[in-house]
Amino acid sequence: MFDKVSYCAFALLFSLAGCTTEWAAEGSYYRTTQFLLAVESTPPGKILINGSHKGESPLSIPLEYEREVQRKTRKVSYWISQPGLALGITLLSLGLYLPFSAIPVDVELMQEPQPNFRSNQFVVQVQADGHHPWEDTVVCTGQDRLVLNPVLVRRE
Amino acid sequence: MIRAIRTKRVVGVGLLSCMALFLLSACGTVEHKVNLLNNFTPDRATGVEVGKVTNETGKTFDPEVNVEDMLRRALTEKLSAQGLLWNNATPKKLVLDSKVLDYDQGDAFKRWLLPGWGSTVLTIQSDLRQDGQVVGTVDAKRTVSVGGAYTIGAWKTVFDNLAGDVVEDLRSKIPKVEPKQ
Repeated sequence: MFDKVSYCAFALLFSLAGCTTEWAAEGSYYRTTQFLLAVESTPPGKILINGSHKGESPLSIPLEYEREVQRKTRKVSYWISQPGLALGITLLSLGLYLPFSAIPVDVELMQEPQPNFRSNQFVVQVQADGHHPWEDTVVCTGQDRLVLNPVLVRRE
Repeated sequence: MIRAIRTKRVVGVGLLSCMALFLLSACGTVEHKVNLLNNFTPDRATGVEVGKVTNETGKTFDPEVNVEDMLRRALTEKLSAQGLLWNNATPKKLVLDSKVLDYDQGDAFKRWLLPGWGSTVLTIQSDLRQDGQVVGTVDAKRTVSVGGAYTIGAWKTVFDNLAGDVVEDLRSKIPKVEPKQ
């Protein structure tokens, strides 16, 4: 009799242990991302980003753009999401919770950055007296920092 | 005979403990963190204004469930209770722009029938801005996945609880101004 009960308990636990569901895509959103642009021009000059004056070089300025983040969820048991709680309830219930503990009751969330961006192009201009203006377009694709070292050409 | 009684007593105590736990606690996940960028340290006497709140869930809800308004109201109440809500007397202002990433109303009856079925879920992501610049991010999530009658209304209270988590984190980052003697 006891063997049958323990076998059933084991079978139940074993079958429920596989009940963590597959990751399911739940849509995406655009998350604000920041990167640091450092401009160290020769000679020093006025820096404009997208036509707006930001200061004189050398200059470090944080810029923002948006990166797509994919949300994925799956159902998991408390042993995965909150192992301390699962252990606590098991001990407090003198083991009676154990067969039920494998039920995937909780929702786990994963956020996966995607290679899609929004508002991630910046036109950088450097202007210095007696020199031709320098211009470049910076495209941000997930980097934390970018250093520009433009050398301005003297006017004839 | 004595052994059988002892076993029954142990099982009884276990069952009662289990029942008490399930009755007294609404089981779910609580996750929240504030991340300040580039070692940003808020000034003393910084107030927080609730900025834009958008629904990024991709779902439409019942007319009485306006997730944007519910989150805005809950954050405003909790910020006010902590003395963190921005007003004209506060010199520095942080604006908290929030996105509701996931929301499930759930169902207390389903949760009671089968834990995990009918879970209430709320996940948000917020940007903290000062003078238009992002200075920090907030991620918070709450679920109510197990419970019975005492979890009725979790679809509403989950906003208050999550707002409480966020404001608690903000309070820990913003130095408190001691009242003048």
